[in-house]
Amino acid sequence: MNLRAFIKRHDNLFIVYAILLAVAVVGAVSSPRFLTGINLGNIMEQAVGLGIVALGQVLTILLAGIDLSVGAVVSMSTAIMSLELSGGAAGILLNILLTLAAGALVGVFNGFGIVRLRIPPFIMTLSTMCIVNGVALKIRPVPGGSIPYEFMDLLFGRIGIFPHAVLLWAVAGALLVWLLGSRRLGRNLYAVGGNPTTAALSGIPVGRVRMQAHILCSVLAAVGGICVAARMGSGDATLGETYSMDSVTVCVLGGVSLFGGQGNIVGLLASTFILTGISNILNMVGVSSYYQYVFKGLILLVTVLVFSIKDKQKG
Amino acid sequence: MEKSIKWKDRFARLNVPIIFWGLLLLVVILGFVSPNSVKPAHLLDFTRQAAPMILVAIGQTIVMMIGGLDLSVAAVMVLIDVVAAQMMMNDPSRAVPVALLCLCIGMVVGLVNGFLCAVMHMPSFVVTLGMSTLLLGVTLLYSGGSPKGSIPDNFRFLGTGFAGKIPMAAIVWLVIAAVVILVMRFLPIGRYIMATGVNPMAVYQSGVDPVRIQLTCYVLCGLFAALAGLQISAYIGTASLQLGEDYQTRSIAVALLGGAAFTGGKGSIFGTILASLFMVVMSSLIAVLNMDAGDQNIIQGVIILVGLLLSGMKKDD
Amino acid sequence: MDLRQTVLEAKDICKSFYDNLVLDHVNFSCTSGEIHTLVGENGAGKSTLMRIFSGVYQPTSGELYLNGKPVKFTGTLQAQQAGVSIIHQEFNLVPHMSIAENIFLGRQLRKKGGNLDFPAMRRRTEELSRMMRMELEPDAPVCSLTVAQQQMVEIMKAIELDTQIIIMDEPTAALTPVEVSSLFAAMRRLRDEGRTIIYISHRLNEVFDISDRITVLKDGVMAATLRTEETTKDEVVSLMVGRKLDNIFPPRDEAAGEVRLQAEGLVIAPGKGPASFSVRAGEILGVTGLEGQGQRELLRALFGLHRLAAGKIFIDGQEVRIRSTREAMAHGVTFLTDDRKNEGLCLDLPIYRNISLPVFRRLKTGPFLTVQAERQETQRYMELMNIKAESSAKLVRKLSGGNQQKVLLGKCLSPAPKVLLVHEPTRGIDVAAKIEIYTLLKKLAREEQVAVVMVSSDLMEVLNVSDRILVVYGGGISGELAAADATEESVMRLATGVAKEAAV
Repeated sequence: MNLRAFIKRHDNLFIVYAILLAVAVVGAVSSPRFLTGINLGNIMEQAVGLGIVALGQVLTILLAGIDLSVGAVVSMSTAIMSLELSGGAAGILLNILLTLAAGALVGVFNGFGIVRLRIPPFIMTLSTMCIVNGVALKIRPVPGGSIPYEFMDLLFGRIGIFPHAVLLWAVAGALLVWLLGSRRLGRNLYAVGGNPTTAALSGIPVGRVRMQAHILCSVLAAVGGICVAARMGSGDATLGETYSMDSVTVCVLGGVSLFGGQGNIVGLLASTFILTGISNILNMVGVSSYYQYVFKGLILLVTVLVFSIKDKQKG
Repeated sequence: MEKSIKWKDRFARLNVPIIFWGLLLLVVILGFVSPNSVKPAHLLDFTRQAAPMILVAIGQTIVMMIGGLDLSVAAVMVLIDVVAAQMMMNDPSRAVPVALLCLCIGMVVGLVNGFLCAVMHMPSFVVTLGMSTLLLGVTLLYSGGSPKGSIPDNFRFLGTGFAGKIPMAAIVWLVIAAVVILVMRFLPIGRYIMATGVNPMAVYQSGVDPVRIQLTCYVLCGLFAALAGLQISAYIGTASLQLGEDYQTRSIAVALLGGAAFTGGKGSIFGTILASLFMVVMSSLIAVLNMDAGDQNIIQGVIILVGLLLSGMKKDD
Repeated sequence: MDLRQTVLEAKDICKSFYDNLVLDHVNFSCTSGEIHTLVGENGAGKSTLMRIFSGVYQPTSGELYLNGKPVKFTGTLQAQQAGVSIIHQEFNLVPHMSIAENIFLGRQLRKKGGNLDFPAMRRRTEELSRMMRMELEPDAPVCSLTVAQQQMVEIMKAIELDTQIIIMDEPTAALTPVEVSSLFAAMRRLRDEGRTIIYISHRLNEVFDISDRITVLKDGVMAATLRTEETTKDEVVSLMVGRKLDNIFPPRDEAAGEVRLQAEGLVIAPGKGPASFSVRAGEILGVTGLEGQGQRELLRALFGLHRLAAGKIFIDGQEVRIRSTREAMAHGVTFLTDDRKNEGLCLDLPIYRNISLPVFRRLKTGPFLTVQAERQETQRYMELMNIKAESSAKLVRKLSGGNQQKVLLGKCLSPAPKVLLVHEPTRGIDVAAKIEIYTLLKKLAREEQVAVVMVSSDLMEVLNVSDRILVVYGGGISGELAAADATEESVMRLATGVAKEAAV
């Protein structure tokens, strides 16, 4: 394929990586510490949780849906992880299993409401968000508990500049690329998001696809939550609040269309780092961290504006 | 044309929203659980507590009627609360000009949302989410993270005062809601809004620009969010950064419970008001039951879900 | 000929919805290796019958036989597996997915271990597109294709399913003549391979060009099955309509007033046209041409729905600027769209709200608009046009096509237009409603002195309703005919550009 056609087909990706490059340049210029290994490691450490949650969110958005409950799942996961269920570092394994199971259960619940009861995803997952937040608060009414040091080290010890958890993120990302690109489930996901009627007429089990996507999304949110818990070292039932909207932002910036069926996860890597990079830079320069919201909002608005103007020109 | 109708049919044709029965049910349950809470004074207090939600949800309903969505209403409310407190500085003479300024801010935010959604055809979800984040940043920067100032008593009267036994806050929303209902029912703009939600192209082919109608709706939504922000300011009297949070997604839930739909062309101001009251009574019931924060969240989620299922079921008939 | 076997046979098929009998003991059969056309007025039951064949509906009574064996389809999927697939007017393709993926949607080829086998799917797609004599890049997204190419993708999908019977529902509606002929070539090749094609169309010329046999449905009853070479268009039309043409169209008379609308040098796009014409008060101007020759854009430009590259418009001798629908309506122009569902009507609003939509300003008392005023206004039009509904509060969605079209016409009449632009005024409605609309248009012109411009691709309609006929070719006017002298042949010569070139 010639280069021009390639760029044209993937122009959303080029835009988001260009923004990432710009953010990196601004960072490098404004602080000499930005490009140090330690700092880059810190950025990765902050990005991992959001990155994994966004990998799940993208599945629901490809279906022209949304999952507003991922933030609550992150909260609940930190709460479950911080419980001392059995002694010793190995006991954490039980917490992990419980967390993943709880995540899967949330996914089933969402999927059931959306597929069986035909509730619009927005409002279904909003209700789930309330309920799961409640469960998190029941488990951990006030922040506390602790995560074994060994487990924190397992995820956030570093090889060179890379925290171990980045490996987890990479594996999840690679699995998803494979799933979306070369498995039936993945291609069916795009078909259902692009045109549900056609998908159904072609014999694709639309309900099952939606159900599977929601389960996977919630499980990935739980995995993200485990990372967040391991970084924080304790449980907090309000820690996840921002993850719902942030993960949607990551997807949209990464070029995934909210109308479904369009986009891929390659852009998410860049958009995750854009979001975490901004707060890191502001932190470094010593400017009020409040600017991060202004920048986040502006970048989202401007990028989507560019996407929409570009789409208009195309046709 | 239709002949005179029996009162029974007339009652059926009133089409009482299902949320009305839900509200009634909640009040009855509340009466059993805590007889004190259903005394007239308490019931009137519900109408006060519901004021901000009613105002912001009216705006949300209007935007949802044209098939849009506004996630920035909560951020507008917080911004307005902070601006009002910091600029009024407890000075009664400043109350009116600052309040007007606040309404203008709300409308400008709505105008920008509307421009991006209606003119540039960007999805309203992303636009208003971005706007929400942006406004949060602006609010934090403006207040330096710890807002100061307070609201003068003359303005606070609108939130805390009473006219006889009736809370002023209730009078404020009653008057505003009455105006909106009248406008929706008896002015052409109301018909245009509904028609735009159903089919914008059909409106355009009738010689009216649907983009202008959509812009109007977003501006109105911003205006109502500002009104709701002012109402909160008047009630609490100070600036707070936390208050608005609940309203972002809950205003959408209220509009849906009141009869709106994501697809546009549906929605009822009256239903929205009932749904707002429903939410307030529900919170009160939860409070009376002496539940912890966790249970409260769970119950709320379940009730929203059930309410939605019930109102959805009615639509299918 | 008779060696061909019957593949699909329907015996005594009845289908009713509630109390409404849509198909009444229909018998139909088709053989392998034939193109069998189904014609009939809208509402005759064609699409219901096709939906029964393709498994969307189950018949109320009667049997289906496939290759002599009785079958019961419970869904489209099952019908496909049994060998019947349908290509709808609205395509069933996922726009942002590639051609290859659309062809293998839901049945993707897999390697051992379950990974998808993209190279194999690509190869097969290339094979298929060579078979259809098309050059399609298997990886190109479907949304980048033309309508004709998308149609080919649908056909390739049906071939890949290896279905014996392919049903095509008005496949030529959006194609240019060149594309139609390549579609027909593909259809003939499929027939020669021994497949059966059931073809639904309104265009009699095409029907006679492509079919081996023609079955006519009328009011849910099978009127006849005829061999194409043994019948004539007139016979088919009278079977379809059940009455003589003279009874459908209003009688000719003559009338024309002052020039109401004049268009000078309209250019719909750079390099096209220009087109100049005029319409008199009280006159019906018929405009026709082959699909995509610019008649649609010319008409829409007069209502501000299409931006002109150049040109002047005069109404009652005054030059006017029409850049939006608002300006058009301010000059007394209204427009009846050919797409009533997407552009014309608010289906989920009541009748009165639709008809009063353009005239809210007129109906106000002071600043207020009451429902009573809207309903009174609407009542007039419901009576004038004989709209059948128990009340003006009925949702438009729940009306029949004919009644919906009348509501749309009412919406165009309520502003009391000086110029009425109508686009395909009778598309997709039954004969009774057609007759009413023709009579109404005539009455409007003669009695109210409205200038009517009617763009239509239905030649019968153009020849019999218009006072004067313009033929559009390449965005310009290739000829003007007095209705009394015009014939189908003379119009077609102008429409294909033959006559013009001969004149030059």
